[in-house]
Amino acid sequence: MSPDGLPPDPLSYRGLDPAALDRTGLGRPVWDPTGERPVGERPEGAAAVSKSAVPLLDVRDLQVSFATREGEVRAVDGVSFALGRGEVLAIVGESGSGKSVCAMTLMGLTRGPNTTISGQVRLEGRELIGASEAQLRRIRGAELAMVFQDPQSSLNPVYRVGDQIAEQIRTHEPFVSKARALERAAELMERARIPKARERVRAYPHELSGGMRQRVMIAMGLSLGAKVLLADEPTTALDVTVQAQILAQLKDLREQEDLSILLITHDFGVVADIADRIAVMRAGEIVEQGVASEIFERPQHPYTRDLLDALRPSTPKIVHRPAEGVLARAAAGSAEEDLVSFAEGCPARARGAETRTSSLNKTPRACGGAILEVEDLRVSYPGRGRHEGPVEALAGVSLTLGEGETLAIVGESGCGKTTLLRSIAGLIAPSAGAIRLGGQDLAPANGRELAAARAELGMVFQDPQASLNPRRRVGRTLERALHARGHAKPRARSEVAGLLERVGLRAEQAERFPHELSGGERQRVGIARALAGESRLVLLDEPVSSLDASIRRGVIDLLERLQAELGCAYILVSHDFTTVEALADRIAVMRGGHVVEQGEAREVLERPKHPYTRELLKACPRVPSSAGLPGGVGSEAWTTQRGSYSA
Amino acid sequence: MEESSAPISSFSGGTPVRVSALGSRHAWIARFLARRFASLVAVLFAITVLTFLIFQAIPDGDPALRMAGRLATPQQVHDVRVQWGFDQPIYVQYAKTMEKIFSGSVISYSQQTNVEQEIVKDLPPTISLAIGAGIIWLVVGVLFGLICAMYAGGWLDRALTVLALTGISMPVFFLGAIMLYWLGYQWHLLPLEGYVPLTSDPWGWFTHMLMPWVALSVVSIGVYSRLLRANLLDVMSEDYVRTARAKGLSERRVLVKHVLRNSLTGIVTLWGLDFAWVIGGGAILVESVFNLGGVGQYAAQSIGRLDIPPVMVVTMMVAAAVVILSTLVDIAYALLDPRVRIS
Repeated sequence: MSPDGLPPDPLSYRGLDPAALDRTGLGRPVWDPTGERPVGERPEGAAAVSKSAVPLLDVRDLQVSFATREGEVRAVDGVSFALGRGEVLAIVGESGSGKSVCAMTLMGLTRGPNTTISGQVRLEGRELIGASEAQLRRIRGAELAMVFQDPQSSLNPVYRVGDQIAEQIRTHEPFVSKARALERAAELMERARIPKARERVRAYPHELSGGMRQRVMIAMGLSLGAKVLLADEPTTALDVTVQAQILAQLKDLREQEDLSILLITHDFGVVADIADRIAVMRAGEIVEQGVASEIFERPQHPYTRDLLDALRPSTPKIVHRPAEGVLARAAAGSAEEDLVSFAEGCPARARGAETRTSSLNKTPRACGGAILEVEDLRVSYPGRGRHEGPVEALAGVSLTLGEGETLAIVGESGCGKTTLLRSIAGLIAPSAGAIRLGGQDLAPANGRELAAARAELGMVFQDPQASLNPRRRVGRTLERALHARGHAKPRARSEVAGLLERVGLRAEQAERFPHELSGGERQRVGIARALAGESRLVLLDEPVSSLDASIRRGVIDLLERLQAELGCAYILVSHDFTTVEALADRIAVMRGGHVVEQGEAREVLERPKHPYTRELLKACPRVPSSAGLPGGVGSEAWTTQRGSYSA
Repeated sequence: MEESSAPISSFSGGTPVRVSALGSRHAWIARFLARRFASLVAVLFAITVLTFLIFQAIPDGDPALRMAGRLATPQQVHDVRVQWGFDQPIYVQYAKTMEKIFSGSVISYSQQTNVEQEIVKDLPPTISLAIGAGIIWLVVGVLFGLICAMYAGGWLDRALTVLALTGISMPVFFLGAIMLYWLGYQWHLLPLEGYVPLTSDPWGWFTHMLMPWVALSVVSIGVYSRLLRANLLDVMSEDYVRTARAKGLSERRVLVKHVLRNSLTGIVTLWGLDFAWVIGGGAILVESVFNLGGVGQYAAQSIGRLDIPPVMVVTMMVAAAVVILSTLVDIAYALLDPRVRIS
């Protein structure tokens, strides 16, 4: 009988003596008879472990290089680590650090004519590097499972989900009948807590949500009782609350099934949540490795410190506001109520002088109060298919934004924040409601008025690579932006240099193509384009989420500085609370097309009123603040929250 | 714990989550077919109007004179005019034309034969040609494409590419003539011309059709293999192929089960179009070179004789065949790719 009291399942290896099984032709697995978790310490509360046992996965001096047209590229340069039973090792690094290549090499997926691999990789004592393809194939899926980043594209869209799981089972167990394998798939999906698992076995990947798809991937990976799970950015493409669920599931798997997890991520927050040990990778090498709490509290290597630093706002946004200011009044009446309109007082006057004088001198304008008013905005899309009614993307959203302010809109995918941004930009015609930019109603405006209004609007997109025309030099793109705002051509050219320098680039870079710039530089060009001319309102759609952690800091600082200099207002859509903390004056939380909570940033983050906001904040994995580094807004509150979540 | 409440998941990724209940599948299929059929009828109607305009209404001169042929007497011309309604408004003409076509009473005046009966007589060679060639160019094209993609960059890939490009560039009649000369005339391996019905002599049928099949397929094989190779290479870099490998599937299974199925889209469309064109009588050159006596050859001869009625009917046939097969291709897509079904 298996541990849960069910009849022995021919597919379950638990209960059988693993040492007797050699399914791969690589020799018998070396089994740790004591069954204890070897290698390394477990964080607070765990018993001391014996260090004598053989680690489950032992990597020594792994080197992987690819022969490319530009010469040899060393993706992984002498990496060593070990993973014990029931342990979670997180490999953290930025893009290009080689962490994904490292994981794929463990499975042998990077083998090819242009690849050179050396070093030692031992799975339960058996060497994988020199193994034949056939032997490796028997390990893949059966003993080493891998889960990838984007569950949408990682599942074959033309096969049903249950069939794909069954395929994995039948590849390694060819004598299992199709029906039996599908049964097993359904069981696995149930165990993975996918609701209505029996029905969903017959579903196609596009019929499931992101979180469910990732659970299917995890279920698939563990369908044969694999002991090691390689998870390559498993939650990056998922919403925050779904991410929390998946991480909880992984933790459960570790507890209940003694699963070892090699977690690859760039998100320290996720790491803080689940990892026992951390290895920091940079440019193919591991620069620091150790127990999680050690790394967070006493990072040794300067790169580790930089990374941790980049993920915490240095100082929260400074807001000088007299108590009777309009914003304070508005904050007092926030949560589910609509926000007070700004007609009575110009927020610019309410601000402290030092942040405003320069901008007031530069761009004198009538202080009319709010620069943007959104009143009961409704946008609906026609439904897809016969039996679905129109989809209400925005169901009555009201917002106000003062000059020089930053409003952050947070919410999960599908809440309507992108639709809101696009409506304000004039790209989508609302079904009802009004949008007033600088006092002028955009809805009935005809072409020319609309264009004039839009000249004061700039937009920064999420992926700078995709939003810059790859065939156009950067300078030309900016020229055209200036020209579209009404600047004459010759003047535009000289302005481009000034614009580039303002965003921290060099004037000579105007001659570059987008692909010749780095990610951060591209985004700066995007920001320059949004600012071209005197934009009073800049819409930022996840401006830093596709950038590496160390570059984000720079771009966020740039945005802060520009706002102080130019006095433009920002509407920031982001799911990353670090960015939100750094930039936002006010926060609006959206869900299902409604704004469920609005208020001053500090209020919303520290004392959220709406249960959904609380859920969102709780689910957001946070990096614990340490003694040596300054923490975020209310960092005490954060550690307490995290503590209460993980307890 | 239930997945985070419904509204969130129902918007995730923009695709409404519907658990596809089995009951709705039948309803979906019925609706889909009804829609396709309705559009099929509409397009066929448009084609008949267009064909009619092209042949009857647009060209200059006296349509009756044109229809009746060069050797007609004035009395015959008058008869034609009355029968086809050329002295009447255009929609009456159209109605009469359609009536004649659908009742099978279109007469070729210069040949004194019933066009549609002639076409029916000529159908077997055309159908044999279409089916045989269709199978060959699909199988061989896909095979070549697979081989090229598996050994992409290698010598086999390059050799097959050269072969494919040669095939695409070689004129069909030229290839046909060369094959006839060497295989038929010089080496006496295959018959020189003509068609033998399948029912009377299967082996004869096969030997007579072999060269026409090859001649017709060569171009398509080239095109299909290039297209499939490109599609396969694209799909091979997709994430789900990586997942399939990570599951431990052999390279061959990955290729056949995961990569191929997702790469066939362009091929299916092309195949539908090519097949329709041949079966409608569009393979004029091949049929004439090998003297198969099929619909295409009939059309070619009629063109040479400036005999309008057959040409008009054949045109309509080809167009109808293309439209019908496109609909079938659409249905095939819905079977191949479940994502298509939602729209």
